[in-house]
Amino acid sequence: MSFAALSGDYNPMHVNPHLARRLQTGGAVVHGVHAVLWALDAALQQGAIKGPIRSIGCRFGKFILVGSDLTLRVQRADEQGALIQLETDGLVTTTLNVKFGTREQAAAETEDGEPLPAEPEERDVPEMTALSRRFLPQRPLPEYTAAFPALAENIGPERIAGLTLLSSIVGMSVPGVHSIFDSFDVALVEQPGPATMGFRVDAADQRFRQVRMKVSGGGLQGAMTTFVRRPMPEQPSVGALAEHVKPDEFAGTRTLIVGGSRGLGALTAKLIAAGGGDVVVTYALGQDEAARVAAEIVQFAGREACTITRFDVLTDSAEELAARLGAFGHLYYFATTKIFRQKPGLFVPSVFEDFARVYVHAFRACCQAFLGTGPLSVFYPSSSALDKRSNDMTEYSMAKAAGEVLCADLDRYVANLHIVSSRLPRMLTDQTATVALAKSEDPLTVMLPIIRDVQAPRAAVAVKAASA
Amino acid sequence: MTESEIYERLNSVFHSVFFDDSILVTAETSAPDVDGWDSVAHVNLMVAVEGEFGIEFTTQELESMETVGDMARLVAAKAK
Repeated sequence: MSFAALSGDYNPMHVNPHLARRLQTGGAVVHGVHAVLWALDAALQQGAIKGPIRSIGCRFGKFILVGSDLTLRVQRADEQGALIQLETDGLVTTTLNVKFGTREQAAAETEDGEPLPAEPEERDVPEMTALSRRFLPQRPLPEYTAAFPALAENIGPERIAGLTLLSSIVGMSVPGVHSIFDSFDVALVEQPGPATMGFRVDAADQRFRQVRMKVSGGGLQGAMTTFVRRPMPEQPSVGALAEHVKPDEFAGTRTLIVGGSRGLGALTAKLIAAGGGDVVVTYALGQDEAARVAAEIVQFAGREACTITRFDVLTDSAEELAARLGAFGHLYYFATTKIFRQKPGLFVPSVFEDFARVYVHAFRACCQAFLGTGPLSVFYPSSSALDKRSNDMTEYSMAKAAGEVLCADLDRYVANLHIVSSRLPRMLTDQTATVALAKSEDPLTVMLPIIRDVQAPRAAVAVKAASA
Repeated sequence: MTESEIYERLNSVFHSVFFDDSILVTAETSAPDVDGWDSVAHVNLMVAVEGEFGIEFTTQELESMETVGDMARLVAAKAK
């Protein structure tokens, strides 16, 4: 039985790989509580930890992508307790601080439990203040014993059910659909009464989009901390964007937008089309999204102002694409890969190679392929991370810096190639819709001047100094 | 509250947030010096410091803090 079925936590970040692709994780992730229960059960089965568990402190440091290998390390274990870490690819994802000993008594919970919601609920942070509910386990108790037999022998199936309900509360109720489970600390208590799990919101902190809750029921008492992701940004419609450009401002232009199915690429396509230009949008995986962008543009323009085509910069030939699509006067290169990576060190060579392939080699291939006999204006998005960054952006920044040098030299030495490269500030996009404190700028305000620069007409140059 | 009391209590907060009793913070300690001190851990750290000292940081103060020394100075100013 899947953990989603056992717990009732059907949050899309766990069970919907297509939707999860657009999240910060880049793909579906394992339920953190599932990994915790597996780890405790395995550690008990192998005798790595012994003794009646009386408390569990858990920090979910990093996501565990579905399909990744998980390593369990018992860092220390004695009669008092154990420190257990789960690792994937050398990265610590989860830390458990387990204590052993006598469990204290606690009064029964008198409130009745209700079934878990069938669909994840959606609320923003202020709406979660002072909420409280109590839920029933999703499945009969013997199924929790069957899933984690050694753990059931130590803490009982009611408490396993209670721990799964922590996951379900977070993923299905509060915070619900936009949740990230950060940590929990629970004491295992001797508590009469049915196996239910209730929560009460202690604090809904809008500064950090953090929700802290007290939990109690079924032999567990404690607290948990969660975050509420910013909802995925919705882009303005073509009609709304048309208010910012003249209707013929970009008339007569033919523009290729590599990576235009969402984010800045889609915004650029809409703005150029709103200004009377024709665009071709490429996508690697987001065909439906690209089709929606095109449909919206075509409906607005009343003509086929936008077409789409599949192009993966890493696997498909830019030369073939150019042969198929013909000449363009303007090219925007928004092809990207997952920017924010969970990695075991400051500089990981393979991560740098990944970024260089997309931001340097494939970019050059596109410039070379589409550089025809006429002028080509190109936009290359660099990043403000080159000016100021956290300790996990080294490889990305290096690749973008290499891209900047390439842009400068291509622009200087290759005739009829004009490249605009700009260190874009942090903007609210799928990749940056994180939870922690992060100022962001409005994409429209940032991109419109750039688009006007790139779309401006330029005369052809006869002298060729170098090839691309 | 003396400066050394503030650092002692900040040290305990670090132990609790990072599950690591070996951490010994100084005024110069910052994110690269502590394993696991990423952006999410930073939020938990800020919340824990607020809880420990009964204070609340403004958004500007949160953005201005880079070292434990910055933290200690703000705590000293606010937790009178």
